[in-house]
Amino acid sequence: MSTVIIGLSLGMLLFLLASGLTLIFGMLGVINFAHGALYMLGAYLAFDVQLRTGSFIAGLAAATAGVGLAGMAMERLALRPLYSRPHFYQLILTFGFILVISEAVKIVWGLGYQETPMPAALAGTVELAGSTIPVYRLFVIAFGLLVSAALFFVLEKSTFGMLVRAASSDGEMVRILGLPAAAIRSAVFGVGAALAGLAGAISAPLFPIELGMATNTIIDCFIVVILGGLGNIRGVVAASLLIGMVRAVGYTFMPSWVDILTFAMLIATLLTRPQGLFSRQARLA
Amino acid sequence: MKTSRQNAAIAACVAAVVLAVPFCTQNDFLLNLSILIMVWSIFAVGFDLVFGLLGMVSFGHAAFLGTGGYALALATQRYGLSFEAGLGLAILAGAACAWIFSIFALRVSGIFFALVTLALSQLMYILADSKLREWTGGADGLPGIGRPELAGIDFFDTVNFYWYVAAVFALVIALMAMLRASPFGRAVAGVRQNEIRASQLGYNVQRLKQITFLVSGAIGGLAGGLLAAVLMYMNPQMLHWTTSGDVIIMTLLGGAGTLWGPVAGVLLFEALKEWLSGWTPYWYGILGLVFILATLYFPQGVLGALQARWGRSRPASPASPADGGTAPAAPLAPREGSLS
Amino acid sequence: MSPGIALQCDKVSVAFGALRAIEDFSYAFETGRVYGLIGPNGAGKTTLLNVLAGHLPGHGGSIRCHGTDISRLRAYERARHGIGRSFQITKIFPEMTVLENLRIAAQISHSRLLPFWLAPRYDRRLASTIDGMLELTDLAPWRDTVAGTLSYGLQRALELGLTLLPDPRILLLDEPLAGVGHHEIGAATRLVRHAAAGRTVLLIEHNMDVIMTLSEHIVVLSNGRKVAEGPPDAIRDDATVRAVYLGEEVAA
Repeated sequence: MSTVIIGLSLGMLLFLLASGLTLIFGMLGVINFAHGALYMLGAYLAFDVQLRTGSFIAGLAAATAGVGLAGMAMERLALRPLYSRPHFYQLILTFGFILVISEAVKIVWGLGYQETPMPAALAGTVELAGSTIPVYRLFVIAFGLLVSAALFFVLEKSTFGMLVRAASSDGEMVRILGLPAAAIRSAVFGVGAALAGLAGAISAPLFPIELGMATNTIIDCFIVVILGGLGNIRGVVAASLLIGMVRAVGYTFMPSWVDILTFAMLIATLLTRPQGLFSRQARLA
Repeated sequence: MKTSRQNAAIAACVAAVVLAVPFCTQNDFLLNLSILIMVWSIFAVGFDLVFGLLGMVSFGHAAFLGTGGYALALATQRYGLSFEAGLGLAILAGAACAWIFSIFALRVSGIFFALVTLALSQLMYILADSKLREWTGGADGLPGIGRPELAGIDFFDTVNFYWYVAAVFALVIALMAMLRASPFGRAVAGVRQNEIRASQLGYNVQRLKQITFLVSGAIGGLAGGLLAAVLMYMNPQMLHWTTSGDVIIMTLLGGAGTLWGPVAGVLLFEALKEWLSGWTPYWYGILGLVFILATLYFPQGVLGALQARWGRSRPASPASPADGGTAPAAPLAPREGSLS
Repeated sequence: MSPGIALQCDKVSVAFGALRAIEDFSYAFETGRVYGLIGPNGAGKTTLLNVLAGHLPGHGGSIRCHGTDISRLRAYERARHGIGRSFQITKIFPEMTVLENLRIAAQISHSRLLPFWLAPRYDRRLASTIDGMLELTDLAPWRDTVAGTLSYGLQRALELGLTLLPDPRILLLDEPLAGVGHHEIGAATRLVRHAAAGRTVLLIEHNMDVIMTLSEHIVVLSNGRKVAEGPPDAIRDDATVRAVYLGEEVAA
């Protein structure tokens, strides 16, 4: 049971992170290599604010807002000029941002790793089906479900979501209709980044925060996004849970094979069904 | 001035510098730095065959570097082969690795190609770090890697090793120059600019790409072997995808698609690194910023810009990829305008 | 001696999902003749050229080129069998000069890609072939100009030059005069006529005057099927053809 819970909570964390990436891709066609760096930034911000204010929620808010704004700045300043150029410039540019963000984090918080204290209300454990489950893990699962529900609601039911979906399939038309396509794009990038920041903040109490997060988590992120289908948020949910479970089960029974297994899945998918396991073609939500 | 004349002029300058360095300084650190620059230059020019000439973004070249390094290390340490044999194996290992990669990666294009190469090389990193620990020494790596053994010369003497590397460097550059000017090189450039037209003329585009990859991997393997010898140490970090990212940065800064551009990029990168780390520990971030600015405003790189100024009326746009980075279309669906 | 069949199509079909772009196309294109392919938009003319050139693998039916079955061959292999093709949307090498463009086309016909140390001597052999094409296409003054900076009409001429250099025996020309300015049409038509000499040509053109003048035989396509064929004069007066074009502009 505890394996299942760990798997689900890992899956939810991955979902929070990967949903942002797939949103950005579906909207802008950009694979944001710096997504892991944004995640790391979120973790550090949450840690810092929580340390100063003692409030976990303040940390969450700061991380989400802060990274969201950073993302918008990134898009506005660096990505916007590149839209008319071949895609690969955006690809390598976002790689450059990993260095910049990592260095910025290093400047502010130094090299060592940090530990974020678990918020008191969510510390502790419960008994569930014969296993001892940390409450925080359940919180992560619940929170993830909440966010995914909110995301679907916004994308499918709201006007903003409609604009986003329209702009992603025909940006030119949106512009002709007089709608602010550029602003929508910035907003979407901001939301995607904010999700990464949120993911970082949520995961902060679970893992030590350190600089390697920028380049390590992005790989898992790619795996999930490719398996789910670039731009496909429903697919990302399924893929995140799949990878989360694979990791949880793997760590328990065959720890040295987990990474290899997940990579093999990625490569196999890229070669046989690049549009993802869960979609017929790449689309948004 | 024609490109070939420009290249010859640059070659003369570079030769002058390379020849002068050991006479201008006895400083071991500077000599080692020069050796590192030459080794990385070898890696970068080999990489540019795929990146600049063929126009495909590979995030997996670290794998060829690392494979070469481990091949040399294992050949000399585990199997007692000579350094030269080890270096030869490094080249073969790099080529073999590239061949295997190409079988997978060339089935897709654009972003997916970048991601497949990334995934494959990162998989190798993970294997080197964990499962193959018995061979690779895991995260601790393999220390005590030797140096060449030619004619009884002591290559642990930095100056001697410098000449050795310089000779290899010169050979590789000469090879690259000939390759790029050859019918093969021209064909590959054509594939980048218009793959459909190239295949329409009768070129086996897939085979051309595979061979380009193979050569690129061989040179990467060579660089990896030399790097291991320079550092006298080998560890999985050479296989990490960020190493692939580094060579992309260097190549772009210097000028992708040109003969000397990658060399200029390595020089720029190392020079900036040395200069910046003199007054701030955050040089890597600043380099990242420089790279971002270059991608935005200066994508043809230093040499690309210079050569455009000096010579032919090259249009400003640099290595635009053959595939343009699009997601794969559903099979048999008519793609707008591509076959019309 | 009977002229022989350059391209034999037997029940060739191409489908994109549910859309049947070409249906059961069977025809024997005789060697050395110039065929005009006409039909309304979406009739499948370009798709037919794509299939013949080898860009649509997995098509139904069979295609024989001078007796050899090429149905399973890919585009570059068919090119080596002597099929040349020009595109409606210009496909040249934009960053290379005109000379370099032509050289890439020329070097493939002479041999496979040589070891590079033989290149200089080999290039000299190509020089006369390339010069000849520069003359033919009137591109000599732009020899060292970067192709991407040429005017559209000149790029079309280069497009044709590239198609002709490998000396294909079969030419598939997709609207070679498309977008060519009024004053350049004469020169372009002459170029096409010259190119057609001694070769089997399938020509798609919307300019009816041009296609009627250049073609010896017309094949009319509609909705992926052949609906009529005959000499230009007969086609001009054919009721079926007029019906097929109803609502369409007949002159370009």
